[in-house]
Amino acid sequence: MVRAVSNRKSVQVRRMLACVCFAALFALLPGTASAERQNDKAAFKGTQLSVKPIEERGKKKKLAKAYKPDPTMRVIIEPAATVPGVDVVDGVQVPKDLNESGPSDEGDVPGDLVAETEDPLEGLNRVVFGFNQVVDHLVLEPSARIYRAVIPRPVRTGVTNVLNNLATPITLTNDILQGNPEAAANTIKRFMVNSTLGIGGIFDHATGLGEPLHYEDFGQTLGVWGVGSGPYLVIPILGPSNPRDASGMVVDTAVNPMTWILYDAPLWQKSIPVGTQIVVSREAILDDYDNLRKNSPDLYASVRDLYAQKRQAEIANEAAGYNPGSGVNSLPPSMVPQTLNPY
Amino acid sequence: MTDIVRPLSRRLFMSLAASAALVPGMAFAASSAESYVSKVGNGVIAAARNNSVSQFRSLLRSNADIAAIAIYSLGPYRKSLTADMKSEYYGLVENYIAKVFQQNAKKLAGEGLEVKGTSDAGDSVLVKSVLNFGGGGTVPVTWRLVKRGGGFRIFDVNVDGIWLASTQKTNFVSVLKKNNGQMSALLAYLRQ
Repeated sequence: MVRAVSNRKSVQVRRMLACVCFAALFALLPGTASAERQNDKAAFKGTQLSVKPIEERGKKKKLAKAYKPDPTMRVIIEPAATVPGVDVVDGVQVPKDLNESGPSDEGDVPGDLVAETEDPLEGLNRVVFGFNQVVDHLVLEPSARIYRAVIPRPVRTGVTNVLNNLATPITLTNDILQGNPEAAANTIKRFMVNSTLGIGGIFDHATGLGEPLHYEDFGQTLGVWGVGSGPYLVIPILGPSNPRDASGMVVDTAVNPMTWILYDAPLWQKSIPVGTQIVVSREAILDDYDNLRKNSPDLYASVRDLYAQKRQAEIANEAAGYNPGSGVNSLPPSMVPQTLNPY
Repeated sequence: MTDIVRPLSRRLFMSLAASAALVPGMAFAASSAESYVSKVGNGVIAAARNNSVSQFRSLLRSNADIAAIAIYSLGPYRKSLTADMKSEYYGLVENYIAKVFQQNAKKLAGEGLEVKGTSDAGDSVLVKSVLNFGGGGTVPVTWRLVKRGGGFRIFDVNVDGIWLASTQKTNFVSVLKKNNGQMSALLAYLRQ
């Protein structure tokens, strides 16, 4: 009896030791990367890579048919007649391996990562979009060009900084509602530093002190909570939206202290912060929007697609201003968060 | 004591052997995708700094799965692409993408690319990275890679939340929709 109990115990001990060995082994093997890199990977949202060894992948028949570059076939760029669509530019060496047969079957072409935007009101939306384009041509774009031409860049940067500082209550509220204490702490620190050292937000000293800018709104918060966007909407003057983002805008307006400070003020005074924000945001995308207008075969469809993608990235905190590893990251100095999207 | 040690040693040996066979393979695939992106990313930064269409085109020819991108960009009009059009269409798509990169060169002319991690998207591999600019500014860039011939090829790039191939698909489908799915209209648009 005693011997049997002893045997069971020894089996249990062996199993435990084996488990510990396994755990230690898996903990030690990836140890060649730096600690910082491991932290980034640990924080990375998404399924970790599970890929077969390279030798096994090469055995697949399907892959053998796929587009396969041959580094030995490098030649000086061919005349346009030989390689269609290619011109001789700068004499730069271009490998001649453009596959003319294409993927062997549909399975070789990956699927969409971006969900198609529902647009059941496309007819009405296109009418409103056309109206917004007229308003943009007549008022917003000229205002933005005059603003760029007349106001020197340092002053424009100061105006942008003040607007960003005034948006703090909106960002902070949504940081908290999204359960992101790190981002909320960043928002508070930025506000304290820029309101004092930055003289009411004119100068952004917080970024230099390691507290970079990020931006949140209630539409994003609803997205984080799992609320779907609903059908695409084009709102007069305000541009592309959807029921989720439009209702978010209403909540953000209620959260914004400027709404209550200017509650009893005349309309022209109430319009100053919103009007300034619209002109500043439009100026920030002057060049990009010019390119879009010039190159889009259907501007309406392009704006709809870009809006949906951008909002998806902002909700996932994958747009500029965020680092999935740390919660917040820095925006390039030239970038302005689009509190009102002038598209 | 020896009763415990012997079976344990066998198990340890087997677990070591299994780990040696599996874990380095997975780590190799992830690290090879990351090192591939690092190499291509630095090429893109160099081309962006030179604002050179030809450098972008060379990078695309060497590293992008142009045929897959071209077919994906047709959306529901894939069947409109006939065999005799493929050659010209792929060349024009390559040229189009190179010009898109060149137009956005300012946004890509960073100081360096830092790879942040890899994930599996089923039919492709996503490699996340950050493009570093001077003054502490960064822009997130995600690379969508497909496995081709034992290595990787780039299928799509997401710069600051915008997927380029997806945007291209929107444009191409718009042209085809306006012209009742006529590929000749899309080819004419791409030749402009």
